[in-house]
Amino acid sequence: MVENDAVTTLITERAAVRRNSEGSRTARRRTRGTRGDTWVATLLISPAILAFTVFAIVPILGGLALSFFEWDLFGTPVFVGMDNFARLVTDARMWQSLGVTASFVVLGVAPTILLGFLLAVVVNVRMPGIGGWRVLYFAPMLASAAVSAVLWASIYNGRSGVLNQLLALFGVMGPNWLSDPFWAQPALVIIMIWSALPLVIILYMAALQRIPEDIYSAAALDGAGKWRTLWSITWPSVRSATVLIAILQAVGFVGGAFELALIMTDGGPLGRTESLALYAYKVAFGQLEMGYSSALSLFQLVAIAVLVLLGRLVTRLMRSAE
Amino acid sequence: MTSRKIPMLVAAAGVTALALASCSAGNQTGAAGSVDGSSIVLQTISQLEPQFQQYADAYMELYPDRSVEVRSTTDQTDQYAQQLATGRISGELPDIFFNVDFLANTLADNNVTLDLAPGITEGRLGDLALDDFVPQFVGQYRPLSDPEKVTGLPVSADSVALFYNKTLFAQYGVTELPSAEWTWDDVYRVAEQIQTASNGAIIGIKAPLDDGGAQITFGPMIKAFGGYVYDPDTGTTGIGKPEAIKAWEYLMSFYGTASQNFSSAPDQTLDFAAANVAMTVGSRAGVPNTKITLADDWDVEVLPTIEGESTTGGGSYGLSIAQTSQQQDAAWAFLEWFYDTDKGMKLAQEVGGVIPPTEDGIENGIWKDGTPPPANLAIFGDSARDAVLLAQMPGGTSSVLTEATKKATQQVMLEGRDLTEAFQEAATTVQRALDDELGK
Repeated sequence: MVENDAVTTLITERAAVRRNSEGSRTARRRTRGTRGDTWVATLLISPAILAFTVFAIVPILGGLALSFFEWDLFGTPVFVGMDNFARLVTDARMWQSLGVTASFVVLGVAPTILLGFLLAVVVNVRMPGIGGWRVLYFAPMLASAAVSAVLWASIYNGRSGVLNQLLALFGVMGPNWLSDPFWAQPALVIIMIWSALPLVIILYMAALQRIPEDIYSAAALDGAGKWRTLWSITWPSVRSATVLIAILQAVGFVGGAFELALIMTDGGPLGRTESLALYAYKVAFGQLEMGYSSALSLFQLVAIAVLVLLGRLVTRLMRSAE
Repeated sequence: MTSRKIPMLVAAAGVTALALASCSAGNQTGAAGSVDGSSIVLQTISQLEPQFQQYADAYMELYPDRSVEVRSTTDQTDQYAQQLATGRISGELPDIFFNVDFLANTLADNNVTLDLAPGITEGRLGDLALDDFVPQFVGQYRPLSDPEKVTGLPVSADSVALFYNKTLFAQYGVTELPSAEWTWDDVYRVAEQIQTASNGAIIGIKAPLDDGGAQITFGPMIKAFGGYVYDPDTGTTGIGKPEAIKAWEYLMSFYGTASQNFSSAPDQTLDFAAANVAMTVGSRAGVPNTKITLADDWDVEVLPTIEGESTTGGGSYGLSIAQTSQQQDAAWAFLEWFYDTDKGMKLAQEVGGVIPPTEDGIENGIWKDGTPPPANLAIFGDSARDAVLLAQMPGGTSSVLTEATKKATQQVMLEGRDLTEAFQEAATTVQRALDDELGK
């Protein structure tokens, strides 16, 4: 019995040693595998990291450096310390353009999200010929800012534009949209929403297609109507996509305001469409003040970073609430 | 961000700044090089690229052992400065390049452009002397800090004139055509008559002030009223002074009655060549395109005077040699050929619509030849001689001026602000920029 017990113990111990040995071999294999994966992953992402460093990090560092200098593009930069940042705080035009940038975001993001969501729901249905409709919805994505500007400038033209001709049919005399201090910014926002919608629709469609069908079946059994289903099931189910889209669009409206305003209004009338980016551009290449322009750009970068961080904070709060 | 990362970031930024500083210092120096077997690069804006390619081809045909590579870049003037700066930093400035009045001073002050005056005196342009050029055109390329220097040579003595559509005049019952004796009041009266008769379908005269930033119009107009835009001797702007206010009031009176309604975003569909505008202030450079596009009968006349003073604006892009060029002799050789009345300038008149910027070229050039319309093309000679060119403004203050006058015009036209107040505020803005620039 004692011998049997000893044999049993020995066998058990050997088995344990063998298991340990096999386990450590597996772990070593896993470690080797993980290390190999790490190398492959590093190799694969290195071109992107290199490009990001060269085209994003280095220019940001260059901009940061330049913001402490006075430089007219051609001469030798002169170190001015914090002068550019001090000027920034007291520059009324900077605050006006910051306000314009903020109002582009405020006026543009919410309608883009709402319209994008509704259109995504519409084009997400399965029916013959829907592919063609989807292509039409995505068409604005193919138009560059310059092409969009030319197209919309002809629509908004005060004398011969389609929009005012349509209004005239109803006896309404339309304004000179791009030259009217009240209407110029909303006119640009509409173009930006039109340009942004395709991406928003794509993102919402991806989110919609991840919602399990059985939730809808259960809702139908409970007697929920279409609107009830839309607002109580579909909309909450795409909440994380909405947060992502909101952040992307906020950043997009900050940047997108630059191109269109530069081409269509040059920031006018009365600075109503002059975003911070456009002001920085004019300071750099009109007034040849690269240092101050860098300070303005850096300020915008910080503002966007704060916006993104706020977005992430909201996401976390929502997750913890769930 | 950790406390360790911040010094690293600052250090990296410092290194980048030092790199920028060393690059922009432009430590490369120029060299004479040799003309035979030379190869030079000429940079111009894309709009002018086809004609410069023809000049280069003709030059290389005459001198087969010399090569001229024409490079074109953006037509946007603000981006053009950026392109030049990039070329400077990377040590790849072209040997000869397009220059323009508002950049000329900055380029000269930063030793980008070569002083051409000594070379011209030495006979680098053959028999052509600096005195042969129309003074105000070559004056655009004399640096404010040292007016004895010349850092660019004008290519064409371009000036503005009154373009008018005879067909539209006849269509709306106006038999009186513009003449050299016309005043601006005559222009206004007839423009209003046509605009009213057409019920607004035809614009009498395209707004001379445009969106408020048309320096080529308001500059001479202010001068004609006895004022000034910028006085280099005192370093002051006069756009808010009573003489200038008269000019602003006069120019703004056109909007809505004799011209289109004011718009801060200019209406691109309004175009003399599209026959929806009866008169416009246009430059000689616009003649070839109008000849092709406009089927109506049309002609040109010198701009009216105010109190006997010319209101004609003008200007010319120029050609400069880079200080860092390693082929300066070859660059000079090309310029000698280009400015020769029987060689490059002859071709430039034929294919580029150029008016030679010399007295001899204006008087005897072939630019006046050609089939009408316009029948009165020769008036551009007188216009060029009488043209009032604005004094160069230092640094980026010319851009500040444009922004300020646009803003003041918008305040008056869109908000109903008092004109004097608006332009006095604009003057304060420009003066502040001038003081900052001149105080450096």
